[in-house]
Amino acid sequence: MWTLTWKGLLANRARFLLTGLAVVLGTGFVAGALTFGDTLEQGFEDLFTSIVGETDAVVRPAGSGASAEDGGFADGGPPQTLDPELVMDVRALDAVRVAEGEIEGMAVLIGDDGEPIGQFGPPTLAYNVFDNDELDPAELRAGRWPQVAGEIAIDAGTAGSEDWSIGDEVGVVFDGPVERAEIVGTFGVGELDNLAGASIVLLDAATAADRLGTDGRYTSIYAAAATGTDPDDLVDTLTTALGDDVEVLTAEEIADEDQAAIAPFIEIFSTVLLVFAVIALLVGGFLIFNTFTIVLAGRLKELALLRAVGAGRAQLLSAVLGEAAVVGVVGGALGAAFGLVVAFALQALLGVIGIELPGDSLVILPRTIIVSVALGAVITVLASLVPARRAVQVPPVAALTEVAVAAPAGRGILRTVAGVVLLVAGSVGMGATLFGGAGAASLGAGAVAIFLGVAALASLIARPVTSVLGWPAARAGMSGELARANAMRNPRRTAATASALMIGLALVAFVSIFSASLQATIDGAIERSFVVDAFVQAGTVGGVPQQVTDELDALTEVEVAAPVRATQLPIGDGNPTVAVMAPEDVLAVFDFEAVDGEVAGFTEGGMIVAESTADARGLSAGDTVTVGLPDGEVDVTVRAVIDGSGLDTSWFLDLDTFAANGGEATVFNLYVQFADGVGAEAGITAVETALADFPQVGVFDQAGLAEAIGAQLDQLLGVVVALLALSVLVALLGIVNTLALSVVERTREIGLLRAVGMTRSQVRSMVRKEAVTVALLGAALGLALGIPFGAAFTSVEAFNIDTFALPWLQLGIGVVVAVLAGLVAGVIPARRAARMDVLRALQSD
Amino acid sequence: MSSDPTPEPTRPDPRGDHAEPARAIDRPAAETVDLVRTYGDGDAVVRAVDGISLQVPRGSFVAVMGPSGSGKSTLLHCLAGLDRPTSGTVRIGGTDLDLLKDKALTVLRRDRVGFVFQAFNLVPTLTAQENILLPLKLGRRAPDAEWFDRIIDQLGLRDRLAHRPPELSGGQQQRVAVARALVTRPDIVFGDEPTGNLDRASGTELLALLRRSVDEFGQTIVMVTHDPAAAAAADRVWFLADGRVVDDVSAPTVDRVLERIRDLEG
Repeated sequence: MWTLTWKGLLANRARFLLTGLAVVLGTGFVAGALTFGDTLEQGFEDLFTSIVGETDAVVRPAGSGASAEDGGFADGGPPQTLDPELVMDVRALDAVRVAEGEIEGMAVLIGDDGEPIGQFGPPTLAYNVFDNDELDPAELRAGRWPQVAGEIAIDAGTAGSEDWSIGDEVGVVFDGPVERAEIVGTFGVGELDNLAGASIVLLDAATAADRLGTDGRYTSIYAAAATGTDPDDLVDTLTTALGDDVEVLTAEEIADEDQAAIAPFIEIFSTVLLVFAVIALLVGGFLIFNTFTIVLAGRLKELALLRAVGAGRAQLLSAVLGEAAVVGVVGGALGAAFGLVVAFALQALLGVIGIELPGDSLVILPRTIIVSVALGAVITVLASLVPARRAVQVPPVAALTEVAVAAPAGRGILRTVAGVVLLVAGSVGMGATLFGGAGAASLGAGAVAIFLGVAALASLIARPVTSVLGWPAARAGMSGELARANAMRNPRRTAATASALMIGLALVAFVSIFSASLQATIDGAIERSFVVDAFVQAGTVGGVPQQVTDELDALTEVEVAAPVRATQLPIGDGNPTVAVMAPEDVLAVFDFEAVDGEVAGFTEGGMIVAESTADARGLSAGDTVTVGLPDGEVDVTVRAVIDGSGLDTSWFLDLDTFAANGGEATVFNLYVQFADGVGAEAGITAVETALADFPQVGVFDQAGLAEAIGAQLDQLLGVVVALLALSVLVALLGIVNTLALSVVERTREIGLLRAVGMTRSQVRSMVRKEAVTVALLGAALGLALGIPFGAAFTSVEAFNIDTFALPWLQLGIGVVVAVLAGLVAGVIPARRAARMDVLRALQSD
Repeated sequence: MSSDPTPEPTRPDPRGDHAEPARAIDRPAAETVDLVRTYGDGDAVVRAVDGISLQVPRGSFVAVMGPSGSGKSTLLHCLAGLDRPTSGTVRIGGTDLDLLKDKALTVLRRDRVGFVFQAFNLVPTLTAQENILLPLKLGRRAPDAEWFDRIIDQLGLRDRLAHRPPELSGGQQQRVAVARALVTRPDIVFGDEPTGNLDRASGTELLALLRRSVDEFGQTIVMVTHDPAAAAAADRVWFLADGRVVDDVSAPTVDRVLERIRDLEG
């Protein structure tokens, strides 16, 4: 039977080429995502090792280590620090050859456009320059190290992307107003000019001590062992000498800790890429299914002949599945190779937007190749199972009859039942996650089952729907009429081809709806709850500096500027976001009406709870709730229950209780209320003028805030849609493939049409219009699926979305893109059909 | 054996009120001058049509016969504008096909030529009526309702118009093809073994219909056939051998045709 497999492959190699291409693309993106993740992980490992460099031991305050849970960033509050004297103590030890104190802090560079660099993205770090170069991870690339206040050195990557050179004066923000500083040097770490997009500022020791918020104390001390001292002995010596207030780690432990801190980010990144790669692979499955169906339909005579001369059904089936396996394995192997290109392209892409990630040579693990080949084989064999089983049902007598053989009419009922079962099971699976708390796997599997179910059922409605969708084309002339008829003649093929496009469009529709609904909800919330006149929002992870609050308090135009600390706290079995505010600020800013209790009671400390949350937890005014704070659990009295609709938090906690129990949180927002008689414009102008030196914060009125949030949402939406474009690309290949094969199948018919007077351009137009009709069906199915998906997700309580919005413009653009995709996909098959020689086409079998 | 196959008009033009414009009156429906069509090159060259000059008079029904490989199909394809001659000239109603580019040639096939093939004559996705009107619709021309009615009544297709090809018998499918060939009132209709796939009764019926379209509508028909009975329905029969016309029989009967075939093979 292997002989048959090989012969089948060789005889149809052109047809399998596109199938193989789909496998290569699908597995390639999977392999690329894996390789990219592995390379990143290895790169960071190398980086952290090289940062440690000559250092043998690191001393730091006990319990101050970066941990994976907080992502390596402490949740606000002053950093834990070491006494500067301690460096002297360390240096005094015989086991120590050299030691340096490090001050780590934050400094935000201000771009030439006046906007902070980094904002909420990559970290914006600042350090002191070490006296001793040996232990300093930074290596000077150009210029010199800073020596006095007003001089800085920055990482060469940031200098490059901002187009800054030595001698330029730039804005830099520590925890206060913007300052001007001259760039006197640029540096790199190891071979990298930039660390994963982070911007790094180096200061001379005195300036660092003054500006980085540690009062001159160190955040850690680096030490190298004296010659002849074992690094492990050094750690022991230091631990003994320095006592319990500090912890001492080996260089390796530090590198491991850094690696552990970055690992979740790499994993999220790789997982997101993988999800989109798998979607593309799923779409590729439809392409494979279609190709096998059509190729096998064209070979029914051959299969019947084999049956006639004595081949068993099982033998034929294994031969056909063998073809699929070979295509899958070869495609998967090529996909693994293509994955390198994908990973490289991802790196280059991130490089273009200024994120230089470590890892200069791609890391290809055997696992990547195995996964790629296995996925290729499995998806190809699975996708070809149904067409293969159907094809080998052909009766042997079909080989002898002159009549064209069609595949035995499929078991329509079985297909319908399977479709309905998949649809129901998928909905249950998705529902289990959305409304029942099941894991993401159930969501994903449910979505896949729904896609397959709809694809199975789509053939039932493909004929009438195509008839309607093709109506405009059919009105336009004979070529359109034939195009519509061709799209309708094989509803299964049309449905399967369209289903591939459906997946991409459904997901695009879904994310647009979700995003639009979220936006509408936020707009509504802002409108309802924007009782304040202006809103000051931090533009960086540094938050809003105290000086900003002070500046605003000093303005006569401002009656109150209320800082909000938003933080997640354990309350009961939840971990909700709590707004920590001074009670008098809450009363001054908000106009709460208590549903239960007295809002004024908040001045005595305690909490205010939104009605929906209070109902859910059975809370009323006067009850106490247990809140987890750093110093321990505290029982807090609920003073009032309010109608909290439109607020982005359900809990208010008074600042005194929070701070008294060790709570620390960065202020990211200020609510600003103007004094009586101050107009909106005058007020905003006064605030903006007062904060001109604080580019790290933004001032918004109601519309501006909605717009700023909208811009962020749009950005996210753009990234998701760009990633989904991948699956649309594969679906496009599917249309090309199906149409190309259909055109070959209809060679004689095209010859006939040409003979009775169809011009080449009419033939071209006929095929292109068929492609567009199929694409329209895919778009229609996609919208039919994406809209309910959006409705389901927006009704999930956890998302707090109260408005369901249909973004007609975006959905319309989606349909237009689908139609354009159809037009593009039709080009090659149309050209092929139009170029046929009339006489040869007429005489073909 | 006649070495000059150029025929005389055998009948007066009986078209009456739906005759073609004056341009056509004095010209043959189709003609070839020194037509040569070769395949391959060098030593392997095959001269499928080897210098044929002939004229098909308006309103005549010509059968083309000859053994396999005699060039009769190639002659038909060149005449019909489906194949390009290697040298020589083909004219349809006075238009020199050699001067036409692909588009103009396609339009000529659509508007001025009709086809009836041996099999696979119809587009399976279109109904009988849509198939009949296909050339008109491709040319965005409105059908002449009176003419259409006359054709489908003549061919007995009225109650089959809404059917698709798979729902029609072989004979009905061929009749639909004839209707499509006639609907544009072409200069000439070409038949490539139009009865080859039919049973005897259907074949006889189709030949009678072709005969009537010549007699009643003044249609010109050139038909390639293997069947002496089919050839006997024509006004004259050209016999081809080795790419040349080797005989021309007027007012053929089955016996005369069979006799000629025996002579040629003997």
